[in-house]
Amino acid sequence: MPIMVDQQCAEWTLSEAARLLEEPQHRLIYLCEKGVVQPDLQDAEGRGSSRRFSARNLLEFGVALRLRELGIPASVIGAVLYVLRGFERAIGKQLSGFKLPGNLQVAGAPELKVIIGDDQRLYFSLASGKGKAKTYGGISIQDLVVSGDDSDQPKNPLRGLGKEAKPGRLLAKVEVSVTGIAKELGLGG
Amino acid sequence: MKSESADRFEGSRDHPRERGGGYPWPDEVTELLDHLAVELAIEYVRLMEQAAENERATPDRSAVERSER
Repeated sequence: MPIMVDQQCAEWTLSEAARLLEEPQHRLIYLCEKGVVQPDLQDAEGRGSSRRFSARNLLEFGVALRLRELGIPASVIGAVLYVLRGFERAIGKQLSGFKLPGNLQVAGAPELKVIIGDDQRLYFSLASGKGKAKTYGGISIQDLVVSGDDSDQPKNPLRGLGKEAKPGRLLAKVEVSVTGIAKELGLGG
Repeated sequence: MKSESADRFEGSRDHPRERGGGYPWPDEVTELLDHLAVELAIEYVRLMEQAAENERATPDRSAVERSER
């Protein structure tokens, strides 16, 4: 069920974000400390300061937590979020005022997905209406993994990651809809 | 050679601080990620424009019904 949030509320504290995402705070702190999610509004800088997050940060948490559940290493998730930020910035140059996550939810907006194929590569896909999804990317996961990346590796790591894909066939091992998460959160940009 | 569309999206690179929060990917990997973001943005804008065009091309059903009556 979508969690509808007051669109006027433009920032969230750690505890508010944790409540909204229904996740313990320590999971969000882990993602911040790993640099996967960087608070847009205020980072923690010593005693007495607290992190403050934007709507985009909440989408980033949503995507990151979903990928963590599926056993994806933090540095790979960092790369996914890095692409999402570049994507937002690049579109903003053409469509002024384009913001994540709000604009992913508008009528007619294409569905954006993150895919990790069984060829151990990172892809994104875009699909509009009934049209077939187009897939982009294909960056080797191996190139994105940083050593010492995952001190809290999930208990159920992704099984079968490591098999070579048959030429011309991409089988998704992991598929996460960024648009779906944006809609679930029900946040404005 | 870069396409005209790619030129329109030029300059979308992240501030170094935003490079995945300090993950030291090699430059060529960062370039691939930047390129991927731009490719996605181009396709996203194209699909949005296409959706808007389809919307305009679809006749208003109620208006059609009214004129038939």
